[in-house]
Amino acid sequence: MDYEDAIVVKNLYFSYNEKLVLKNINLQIKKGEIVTIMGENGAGKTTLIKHFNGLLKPKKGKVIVLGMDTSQTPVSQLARHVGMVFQNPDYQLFAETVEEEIAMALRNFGFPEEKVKARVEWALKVFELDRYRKRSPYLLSIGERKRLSIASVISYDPPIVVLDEPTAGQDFLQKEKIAELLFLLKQMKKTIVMVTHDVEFAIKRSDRIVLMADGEIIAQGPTFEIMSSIELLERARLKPPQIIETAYILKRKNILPSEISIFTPKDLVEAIAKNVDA
Amino acid sequence: MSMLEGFLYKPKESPLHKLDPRSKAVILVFYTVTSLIYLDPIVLILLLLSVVLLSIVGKCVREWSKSVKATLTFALVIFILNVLASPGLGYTYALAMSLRFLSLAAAFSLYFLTTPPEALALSLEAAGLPRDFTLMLTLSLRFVPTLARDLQIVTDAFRSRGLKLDSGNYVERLYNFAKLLTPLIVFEIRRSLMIAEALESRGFGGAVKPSLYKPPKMSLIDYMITAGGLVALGVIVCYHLGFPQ
Amino acid sequence: MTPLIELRDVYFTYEGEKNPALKGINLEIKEGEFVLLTGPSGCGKSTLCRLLNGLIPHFYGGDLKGEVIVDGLDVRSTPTYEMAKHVGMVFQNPENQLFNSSVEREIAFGLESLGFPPDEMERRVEEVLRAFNLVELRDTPPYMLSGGQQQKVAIASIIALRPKIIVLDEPTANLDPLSAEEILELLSVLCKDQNITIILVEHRLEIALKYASRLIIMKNGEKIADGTPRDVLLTKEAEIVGIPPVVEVYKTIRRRYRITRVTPLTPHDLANLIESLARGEGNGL
Repeated sequence: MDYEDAIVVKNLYFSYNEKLVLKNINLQIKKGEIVTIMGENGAGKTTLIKHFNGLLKPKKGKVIVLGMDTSQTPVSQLARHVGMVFQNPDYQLFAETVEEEIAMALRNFGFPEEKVKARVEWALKVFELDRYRKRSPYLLSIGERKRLSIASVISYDPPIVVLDEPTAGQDFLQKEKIAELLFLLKQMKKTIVMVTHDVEFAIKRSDRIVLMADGEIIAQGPTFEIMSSIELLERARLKPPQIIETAYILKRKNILPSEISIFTPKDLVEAIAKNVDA
Repeated sequence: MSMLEGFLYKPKESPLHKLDPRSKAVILVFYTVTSLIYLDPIVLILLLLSVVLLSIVGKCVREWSKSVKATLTFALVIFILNVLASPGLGYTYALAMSLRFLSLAAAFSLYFLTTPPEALALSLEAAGLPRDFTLMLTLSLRFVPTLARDLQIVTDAFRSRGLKLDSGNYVERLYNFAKLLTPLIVFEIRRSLMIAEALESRGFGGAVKPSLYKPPKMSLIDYMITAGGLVALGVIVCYHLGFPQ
Repeated sequence: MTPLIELRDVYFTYEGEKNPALKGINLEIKEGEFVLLTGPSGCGKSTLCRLLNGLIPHFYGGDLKGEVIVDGLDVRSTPTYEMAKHVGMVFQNPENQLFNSSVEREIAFGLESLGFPPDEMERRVEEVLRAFNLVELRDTPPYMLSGGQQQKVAIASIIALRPKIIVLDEPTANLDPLSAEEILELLSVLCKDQNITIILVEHRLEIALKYASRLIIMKNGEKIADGTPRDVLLTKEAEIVGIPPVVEVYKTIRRRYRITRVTPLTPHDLANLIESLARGEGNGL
């Protein structure tokens, strides 16, 4: 069977300790899309993505992943289709060596041994962990541990990958590496759902943005559309990306015409060249 | 888990909650000594009943009964063991032994349910115990919820890789559980180091004796209860040892 | 004026490690500076932080060479609890540095540890509660607060000891942008109003730069750049920590129009710069 949508959320409500944390969530994520969920801490982002592999089950409403109703499907089965990478790598490294860590889920899902070997080799190479293969995951640096936590999920080739705050606490070089990985995953036609409040990272890497505040989706749409609305970002308690904010100020002052779209540093430089006679 | 809950402080407004941990401790000592001295089922049942009354005063019958229910199993085991191990002493003895356990557990559960751990630590510190000791007490209780949350996150991560905790035979389950504990233990060790760093950075472990911010104060009722408890304790002990002529 | 912090030829190697975590660090920091310290993970910035309040070498052991003088004290011969009166430390994870069951007790904790008399303690706790707008939260357990508020309490509890220096090791890494900004704003006020020296470790330059009076970049245990943010950002060394988009734009137009201006650090700076270009104010230097 083929489904156009990777994830469909319909009228989802979820409460925890009698407190409503998700209110009437409606969301459609198409296959091959990179969707970024943004909002301040406590907006319900992590609670929402935990519904995508069934760790949490809807109190009301439905979550359908690749045609499977998550309330009817066990986590162990959904996990095969939805790879979940949590924020802190230290909570998700279980094996004694780096290569066993990567092989763990593969073996669990019953991949034949030669396939396990091949996939482990591939992941070690792509994630630049080759020289640490026999080392304990806990002896790696924070950036390497982060990459390993992603590698051990990507290795079993789930069609959907969910990443919670992939850039939190990571330095610039690691962020660049994670960005490259996202690009690779996109090439592999994966569906990617990412949670972050790093606007500068999100603006470069997402097809679509979902803004959340107080357990609700307050807006969703193409990255540029959402990121250009300073008022929407404010409602989600986010700061606009620097270039967008600069362009906003310049347009308000009539230095740049309001109809041109400025998104990247390059856009801004070009707009200056065209409109500002220096 | 439910048994542990019966020993965790629940904030509430009640006369029992208001008492100073020290005056309550005197009463607790009275209960402990009495139940250890007397192996008479009648006395022990009376003790148990009075704890029931106190739990009503303390507005925590529900939480308290949870811990008592959990200890019932242990009480039953004690009863059976005593019947089997010392058949000569009879059922009354076995009954008294398990009642002793039950009344002790009940009294301690009520004490901890109505006493904030920090108030306890504070009053212990005010009573002269070193801060190292009282801090250990507060820290271990303070990090119970954090540990529970960490366990939840690790379990989520584990299950997200398609691994199951509740299937397979016992060996497999044990193996999986051990795997699950690896990150948790590593993480908690790291956390304890971070806590130690933070403590040192705030001047802990210095050369001077720590002072106390707003030391706990005993009220008039506290003093009365302490006095009453001490007198009762004295009477019980003397009575048991035989009054001096 | 003698510097408040002075490091001379500092080398430090952790116990059991072969490679030193700090290599030949020379550093002078004056009172009232706001220093932003950055660099790739593992570059030695956390080690440097821990050196400043004596956790290194007293807590960690290891091999320390060179001279470290902080507020007139030699860290090597001054125990950490003594350093606590001069240097406050704030760590990344707020929950690991909050141990008490109420905000007010949290603030009193350091004072208690150092044996302050009760009336002095009460005076200082009240003062800090008011200054940090925490009066209403005084009885709240810190672990029930949001991450941003927790960090605020962590800073407040350090201010109660009236240190001259506050060192913060990635204090905003777990916070959302606005909460992070509130914390940085708070530090900036402490720096300006009370002349407290701030040393802040942070990866996200785009949010922290505008508060800093000085930017230091480290790599592999060495200091590779040190100066005003506006100068350091234009150097080649700064590229390993990621140039914020506004600076990136400035670097391009600077080359293209052959202008030299003060490097913009915020969208407002950049917009003003472009506005002045539009008005035909060529090279304003």
